[in-house]
Amino acid sequence: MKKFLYEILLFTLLIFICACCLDFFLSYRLRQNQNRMYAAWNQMYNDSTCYDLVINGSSRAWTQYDPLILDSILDLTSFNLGIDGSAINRQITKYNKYCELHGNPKYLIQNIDLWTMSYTMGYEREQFFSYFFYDRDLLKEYDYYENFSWGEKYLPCYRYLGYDDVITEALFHDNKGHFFEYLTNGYFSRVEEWDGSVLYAMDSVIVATDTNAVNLFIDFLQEETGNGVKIIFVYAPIYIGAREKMLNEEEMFAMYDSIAEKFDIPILDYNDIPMCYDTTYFYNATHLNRLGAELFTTKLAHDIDSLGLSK
Amino acid sequence: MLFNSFEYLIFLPIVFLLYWFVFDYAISKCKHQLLWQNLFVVIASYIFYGWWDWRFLILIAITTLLSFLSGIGIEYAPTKCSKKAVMIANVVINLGILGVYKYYDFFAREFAELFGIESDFLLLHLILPVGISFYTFQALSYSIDVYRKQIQPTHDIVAFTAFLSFFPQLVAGPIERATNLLPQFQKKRTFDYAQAVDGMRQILWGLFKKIVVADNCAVYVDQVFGDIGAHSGSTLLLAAVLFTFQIYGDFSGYSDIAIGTAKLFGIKLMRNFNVPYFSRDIAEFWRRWHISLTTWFRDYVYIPLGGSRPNIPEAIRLKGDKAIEARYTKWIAVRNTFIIFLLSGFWHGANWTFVLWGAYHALLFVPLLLMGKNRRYRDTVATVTLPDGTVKAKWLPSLKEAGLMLLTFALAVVGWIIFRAENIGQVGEIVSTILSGSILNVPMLISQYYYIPLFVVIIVMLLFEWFTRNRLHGLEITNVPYRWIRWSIYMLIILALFFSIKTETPQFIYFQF
Repeated sequence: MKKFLYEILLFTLLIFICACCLDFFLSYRLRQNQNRMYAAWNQMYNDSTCYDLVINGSSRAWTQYDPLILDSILDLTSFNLGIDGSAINRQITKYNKYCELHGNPKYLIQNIDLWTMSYTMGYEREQFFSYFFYDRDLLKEYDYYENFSWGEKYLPCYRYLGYDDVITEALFHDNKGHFFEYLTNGYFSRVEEWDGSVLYAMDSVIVATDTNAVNLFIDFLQEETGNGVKIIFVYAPIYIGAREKMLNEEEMFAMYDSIAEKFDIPILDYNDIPMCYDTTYFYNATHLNRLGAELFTTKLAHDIDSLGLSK
Repeated sequence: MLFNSFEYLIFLPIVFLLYWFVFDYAISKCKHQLLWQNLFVVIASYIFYGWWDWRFLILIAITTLLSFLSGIGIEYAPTKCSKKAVMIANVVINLGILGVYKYYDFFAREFAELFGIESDFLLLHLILPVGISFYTFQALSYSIDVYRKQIQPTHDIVAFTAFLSFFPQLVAGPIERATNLLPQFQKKRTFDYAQAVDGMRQILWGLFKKIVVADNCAVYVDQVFGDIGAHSGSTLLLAAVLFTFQIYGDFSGYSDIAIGTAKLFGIKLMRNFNVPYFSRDIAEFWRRWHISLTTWFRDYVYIPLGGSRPNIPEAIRLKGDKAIEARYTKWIAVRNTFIIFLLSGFWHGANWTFVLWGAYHALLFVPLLLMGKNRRYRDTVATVTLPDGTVKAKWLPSLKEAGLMLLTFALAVVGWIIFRAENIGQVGEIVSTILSGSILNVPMLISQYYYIPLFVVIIVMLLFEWFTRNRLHGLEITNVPYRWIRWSIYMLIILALFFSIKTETPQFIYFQF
């Protein structure tokens, strides 16, 4: 019996060592990956530049603000922190991680919309896999919302179990993934034409604002304004068809107005500019394509410049 | 609790350690060691089974109590007739419970359809308790064996409950015989190192077949069979072939895990699969596929019905015509063959497709029976028996053997199409699509990252099984000289498991039966 248990222990130890090596290998490979959601993190982690301006928000920040255009017009360096499918909780955590790695920016463009003031939980949680096991601060931040299991947090490789697409991505896709050419300083430009299916599938939108999320956002603004970061709120363009389905837009405007007033934050509103009426500039009802994003960012940069917000 | 779940990964080591250490030590000075050891098995088994739904425990407890009492009843019944009555009563009640849970709604629906009436008010919508077909048959075998005096009735209800609810084989077999399993619960088990190590190997091999082979095949099979009309004949044929491996990996994988787990607790269960896809005809296939069920039907249905050597009725015997007697014997053998294949099909579930599957196999089997060739291949393919009685396996089969294996495999694939289809109409649709011109199309292949590893693991499974075909399981590699080679093989299998585990733990196919 002793011999049997000894062998089992030895074999378990061997499995543990192999699992550690495999975990390190898979995580390393994913940290080199330039595909979509991984790249949004990897570009931030694998770069130590201290940028002057960062753009924070969801996919509507990620795909709509081109940092290179902002750089060229405002004579600054900028980085897009947009994160797909994320509400304010994820956005703030990513911003905090950015500050830890790169230092505080001088300017922060915060993209705001109807979906910002809520919580994201569980969506594409595999984007954190390559980092959180080694970055316990990140784990601590996200665990509150993502509810990682004990095994995911403490056992090597366990979090990859069942995610065969992630493993395939790590094993077989190198850092020249097809998204690579579209990712610049965190910005993901979508070279796509209008797809009306999202608009067609959209019901009337009434997004309930989460009070806790609003408080979280206010705390965040308090801290960042205290750190001397100049914040600008931006309503990025939304296709008019989608806007017509948003039933509590006025409520949203009032809420952001009151927050902006409290912290003396300027709001730039692009919800009703001409491009919002033309599907040429959108790839779906709520996201600009590359053409639209370039036009919008150019306009935004000129507006920031003319209003002297970047001085 | 599923064998391939995280819960089981925790449950098994805890039960193992408690069984051999904590509990065994605690009772070492106790007078009733065996009783406590069996009681622990019962508690662990009931926790395991109750994990699905605690209400299932009531049914298994009823079956246990009835069968236990029937054994004692048969023992004390004064006449042969009353003994038979007790046995029949137990069989009827147990089959009645099984029938109500498994078949009632099916027959009610068929009845309603036949007479054109609304079926809703007739249906009971009962949840089928996991493993009910398996433990019911095990319980039946006990009372029949007691009646036949093949085993002494036990008076130890704890040992009997352990026999009927032993968790490794409770939900999907092997369907054990009281003659094999019950005596093992009637003496205290002691730890056997070699047996435990072999058990671990067998569990690992079972997990490989289930998680790596079966669950990966299921990805393609479920996609294709989920929308038959959208796929070409070649895709359907590939899905049917993959289902052939899926069901084998799934069920024999389960059996390997069950047998391996039992070995950890010092219990030897009967073999349930013996490389069935290396069979040279359908009769051999059925001697190697789901052995515990096949032999159950043979012993408790086929032979009591007269088997292939029935008693000749006096009216025929008196005529003295040997030709008529031979014809009668053959007719009874054919009838009995059809009965057990149809019953075996229907045992799998309340659907005409299972009956058709049974009939299809009966049709393949009967010609062999009539030609007297059904017991032609009783040895393992490509093996020679040396003068000293040892069996030596050849590296490769002969061309004829390979051809026969391929033909039997193809026949099995057709059978599995019937088995997998949701209804008889779908069987026709699948077969006609396969036989259409679209069989020449390139089959749908999901992704190179899917099908290349899948074909590799199927080939690996077949190679392991081929080279261990006269052993008890595919990972019985004690002849590999160096430990580091063996351990490397185990590690590679664990790596394959890691890459194959799904976020949602897939069920075992046979749990639904």
